[in-house]
Amino acid sequence: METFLQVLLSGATMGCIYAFVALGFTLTIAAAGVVNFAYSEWVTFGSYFGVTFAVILGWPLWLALGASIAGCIAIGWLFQLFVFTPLEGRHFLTSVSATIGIALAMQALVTLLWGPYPLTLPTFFGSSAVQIGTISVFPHNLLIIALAVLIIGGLQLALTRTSIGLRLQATAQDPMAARLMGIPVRRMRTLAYCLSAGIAGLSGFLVAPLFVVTNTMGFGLMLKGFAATIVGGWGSLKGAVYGGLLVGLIEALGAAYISSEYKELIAFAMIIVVLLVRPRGLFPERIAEKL
Amino acid sequence: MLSVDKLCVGYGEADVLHDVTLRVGEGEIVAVLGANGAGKTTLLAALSGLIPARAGEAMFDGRSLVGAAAERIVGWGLSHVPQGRRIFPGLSVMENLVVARTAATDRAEGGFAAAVAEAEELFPRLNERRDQLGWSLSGGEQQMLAVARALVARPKMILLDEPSLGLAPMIVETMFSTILEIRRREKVGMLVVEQNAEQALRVADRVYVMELGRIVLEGPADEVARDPAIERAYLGA
Repeated sequence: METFLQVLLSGATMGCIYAFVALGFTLTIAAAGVVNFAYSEWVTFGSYFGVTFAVILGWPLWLALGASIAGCIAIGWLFQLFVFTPLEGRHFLTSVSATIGIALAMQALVTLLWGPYPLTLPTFFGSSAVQIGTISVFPHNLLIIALAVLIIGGLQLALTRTSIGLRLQATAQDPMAARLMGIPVRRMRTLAYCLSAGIAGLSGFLVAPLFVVTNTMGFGLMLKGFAATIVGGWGSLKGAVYGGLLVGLIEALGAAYISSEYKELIAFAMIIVVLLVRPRGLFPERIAEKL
Repeated sequence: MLSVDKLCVGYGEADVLHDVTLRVGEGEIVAVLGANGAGKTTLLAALSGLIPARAGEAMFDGRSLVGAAAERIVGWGLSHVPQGRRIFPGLSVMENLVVARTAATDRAEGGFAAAVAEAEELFPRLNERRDQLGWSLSGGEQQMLAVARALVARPKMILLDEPSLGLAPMIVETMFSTILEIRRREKVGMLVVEQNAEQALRVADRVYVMELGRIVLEGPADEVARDPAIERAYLGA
């Protein structure tokens, strides 16, 4: 029982990270039809910003977290200016290839800027575990789960209960009709890019203490985030969140009870099974089909 | 209120509109008749800023529409109800109205609540369907919502693109009666583009007939309705 709870907790922690990545990746698809394969590098940069501010410059962690998110938002804004807006209205594969190219360049840039050696980022609460009942828990894991609940819940409320959130949804569902309603579509899309980038910064910062920071870390997370997107349903924000949690949990359970060697295999086998049963994912997006 | 002078519009190599000239006065209902491909939808899209004009001028309420962005034009009091309704499928009826709110909505007496109340009085069905998602509405209800969405912006004039398209004859009849009712209540002018000449001639004060991107005939509705060529081409007589 203890092992099971322990596994569940670590699965949920990684699930939240995957949910963040899948959510950020899906946001630009839903809002603007932009498939951003450089998202992995946005997450990587979030981690490296964290290391830079917290370790190299020695800023307090909360400040470093805020600065990392701000740094990623700046990257998102630059992408909007130089990549997404110029490619607007093109076939979605154009943004796919452009962002894959930029992702490779950004990966190389990381090595140039921060060197080839893995770096580490401390947690807010040190590295010792706390006993809760019979299981030992890392406070950082609880922080990740709490922030996921807070931010995903907040985002849900903002999208469905505020007028700017409804306008963002309207832009995603029918940009032409949105313009006729006087909604500034380009600004709405920029907002979505920046939101997506902010989530990348947050997940990069949060995931860094669980592993070491390398220039390929974002890529690994992105693979799972992408899987979560497919399992949950392409373009569906709800699907991204549940898909992320599911991938995290199954990966952890598979590693604990079947084989940790094959945990990647188990996660991806599950995706194949889900797609065989529900080809459009668990929460297919009925509307706003962009592809 | 709306005056269009020698407007030319095209896509890529192809010119769609040639020297289109027309006027719509304050509170006037003007119909543009024409077959498929005559350029009616293009005309409305050019007026509401969705596609750029190549030459000519279009003035609305003292402002030039040429080169202005669609998202600004609605704020000047010109609402466009596009072909196919284009309501937001994933938003509820009420949310569709919320996103249509503009500065003019808030300036008017009673603000947004009054605008919604008035729209629901014209279309009581929308009140019953308030929380239903856009995609689940019938064609007629979607058309009602599209017009209601335009009214929420408190327009001085509405551009209506084929309000009868794909609707049952009885619903079309009601829709056009509501158009007259809207004019009576709100004093808004309307430029209605239609293939259903019978209904359009019933409500319009004046009519333009378009063929292959040109205005070929214009006049008061009752006069145009008696034109033998129009009878043959559009009224099936």
